[in-house]
Amino acid sequence: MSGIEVRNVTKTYGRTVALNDVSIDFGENKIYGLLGRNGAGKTTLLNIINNRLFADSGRVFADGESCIENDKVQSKMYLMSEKTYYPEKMKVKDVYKWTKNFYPDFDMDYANQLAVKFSLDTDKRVDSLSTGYNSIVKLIAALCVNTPYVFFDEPVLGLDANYRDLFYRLLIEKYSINPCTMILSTHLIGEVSGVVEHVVIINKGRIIRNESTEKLLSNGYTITGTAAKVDEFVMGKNVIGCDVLGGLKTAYILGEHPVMACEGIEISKMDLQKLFVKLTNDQEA
Amino acid sequence: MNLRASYKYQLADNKKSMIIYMSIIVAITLFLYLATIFTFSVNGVTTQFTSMEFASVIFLFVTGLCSFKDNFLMLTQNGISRKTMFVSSILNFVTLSGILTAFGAILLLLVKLLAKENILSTGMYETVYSVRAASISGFLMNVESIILNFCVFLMVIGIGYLITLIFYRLNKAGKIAVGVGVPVFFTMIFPLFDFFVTGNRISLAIGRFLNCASGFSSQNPYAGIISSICVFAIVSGLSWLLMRRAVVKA
Repeated sequence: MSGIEVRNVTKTYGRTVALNDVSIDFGENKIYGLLGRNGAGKTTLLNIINNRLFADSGRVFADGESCIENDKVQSKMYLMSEKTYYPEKMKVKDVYKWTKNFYPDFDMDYANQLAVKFSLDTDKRVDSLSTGYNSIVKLIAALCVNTPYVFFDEPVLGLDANYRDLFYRLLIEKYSINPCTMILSTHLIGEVSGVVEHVVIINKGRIIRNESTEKLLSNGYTITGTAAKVDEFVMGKNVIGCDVLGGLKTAYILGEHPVMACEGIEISKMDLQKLFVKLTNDQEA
Repeated sequence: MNLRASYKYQLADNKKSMIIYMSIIVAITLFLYLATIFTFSVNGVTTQFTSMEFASVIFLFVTGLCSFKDNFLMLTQNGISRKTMFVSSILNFVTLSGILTAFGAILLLLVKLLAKENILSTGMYETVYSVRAASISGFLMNVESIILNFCVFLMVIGIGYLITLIFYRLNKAGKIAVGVGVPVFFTMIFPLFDFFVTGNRISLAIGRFLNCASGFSSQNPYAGIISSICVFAIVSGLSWLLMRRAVVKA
């Protein structure tokens, strides 16, 4: 089977259950959003897939082969980590030189072009860069490796709004030219909602949602109106949360969009970030 | 492909320090050589170059100590499995030991060739196995010396690698316990225990064992060669056991 299969993976750190019997598939040539709150288990899942951590139980396969200690499979994957694992004294240009050594399809010309776009001085050493530029070094490497599976763990950490916007544009551009499976792990949901095709929400080590962005958002809607009108409207519906601001009340409802709107009630699309917040808060409660 | 890439990276990582080390050794040797020549005419100073390879032993031990963490993180970042990493590390150790063995042999040969009456030079082999060295041909002595140096170098770099792996795998409390406990044990607890309880029997037994293992008293360099290979095999095996479950720490 093509793609990545995660089967019944459990990982604990002492008494903390980071992943609890997680099973999930990442198909070919899709952009996934792996969303979760801090400590939800996103990084642990990516580290297990990328052979950096060992699961306590369960298995991970890529294109039908085990990911554990498998050079052939690992050469198809690249994980842009939140942390920097390049030697501190290494120059940026050497980071790319060595990445090409390990990933022969690494596009050095494209990396140099991206470095110019991000105003990155490739003669600088990794330890002399700011948090944002450290992320840029890793982003460029991830965008140029040309592997079938690319994982981004908190890719925009420390990046200003302009560079975040540039990154998302480059990501889509890269995907349109050379489709591959990209998995973006982040808690900045608002920013990736327009980029990801498929959403996986992880909370407290469990997958709580795993569906296409379109389907997930079509499964819900938002209504706004006076408190009395909203309360009347939501009776018998699956309300996942409410916000009250002055006399106005907003309710987030799971279910099909109503064909007819009631007077005094405004119906709008479910916002991914709102849905995420409500779903993960719900889990907490 | 991955093995080659991993080996190439690790070798390049050691290239700079290796060149600096060899340059320093050449510079010191040259300085002492020239200083001896110039000062001999004034006050008859004699210089003896003894066991120059010992500097390489220390260099390789430190190299072993520095060979794990950065490489592990960099290679893991680039999709290299622990098995490939380990094999490439061993190949790298063999290469470094080989280069420094050749370097030491050439340097010693040059010093001997250029030696005057006031410059004496003996390698590690001639120092340890002096009786045997005097009784065999120069060619055989050089061959045995090269093999012995290579095996000893391999052993010390392997020991350094094992130590750094032990520290990487330990948690903070374990690092403190081992970092403090081992030196305290060997410098205080063991000598006191050995002296007061066993009447130095343990240290004498260890001494006899090391004497036998190195072939010092029997003047048998092959004992030293085999012992070094055995120690390297054991520390490599232990290193692999520690490495196969090593994880990238958060």
